[in-house]
Amino acid sequence: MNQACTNQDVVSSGLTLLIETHSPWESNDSRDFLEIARALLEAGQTVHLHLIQNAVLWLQQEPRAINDLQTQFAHLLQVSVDDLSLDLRGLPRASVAALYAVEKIDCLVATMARPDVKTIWHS
Amino acid sequence: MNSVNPMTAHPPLSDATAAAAANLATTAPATGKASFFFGMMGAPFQSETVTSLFRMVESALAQGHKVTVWNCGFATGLSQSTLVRPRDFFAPKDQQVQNPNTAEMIQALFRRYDKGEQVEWLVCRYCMEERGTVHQIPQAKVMIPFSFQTCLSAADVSLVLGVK
Repeated sequence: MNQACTNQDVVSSGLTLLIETHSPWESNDSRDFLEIARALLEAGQTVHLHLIQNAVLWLQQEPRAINDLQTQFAHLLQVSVDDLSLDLRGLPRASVAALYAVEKIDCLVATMARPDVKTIWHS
Repeated sequence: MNSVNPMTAHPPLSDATAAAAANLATTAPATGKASFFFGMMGAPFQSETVTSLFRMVESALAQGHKVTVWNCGFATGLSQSTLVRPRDFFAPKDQQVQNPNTAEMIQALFRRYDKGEQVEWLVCRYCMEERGTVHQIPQAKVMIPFSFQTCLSAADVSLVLGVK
């Protein structure tokens, strides 16, 4: 289980924090949001994708979508997952922490507050 | 169980509006910490967004940031003084109390963090009146719709949550 905040040591070259709230089965908008992440990454932007609420179900329903993105853009993409959203759905944190950072809401807020971070919340 | 919580008396709307007008400016606090603006849209129980909102607001306040929450649509009902939630069914019979509703949670945030005017809870007048959520807690400031952009632009970090 990783409870440390990610991205706190990143030098300020600009970071886009994308926060997804939907599972892949809820809406195709969720896939479009990942395409935004992909477009930013292909343009050389640094992206932090945070999964919260039903978006943590991506890891259960379509884990390859997130995994492929991270594999392809390992140097530019950071993926983190909300701890409480996992708990509320009975998903063991340990199984997720092997692949992605499991973060508290405090870490998310701290990242948002950084002046070099642009946050986009997908409702 | 159906009694109105005495902590949440109905404020005269004109007072709330006057107070809101006097405190419209939402700027970064003197501490140098970032100011947050959360625009909350849509119905309160449609998704988990309200849970996420309260978690982020409390976390930002605990980290010393100034927080403004603007409520549009049915989110104007989050701060209604007439809200009632069921009692805690799992508590021992002699300890059963009413679960806190969102209005009481907002008031708890004000009690803990409002000493330095760190938190603002704003309610869109148009949305409030359209939906009849007019009985607001004293801490909620009723705002004219056009001030949304002013508050949003003044904050360092602005997020709009939910869909109206």
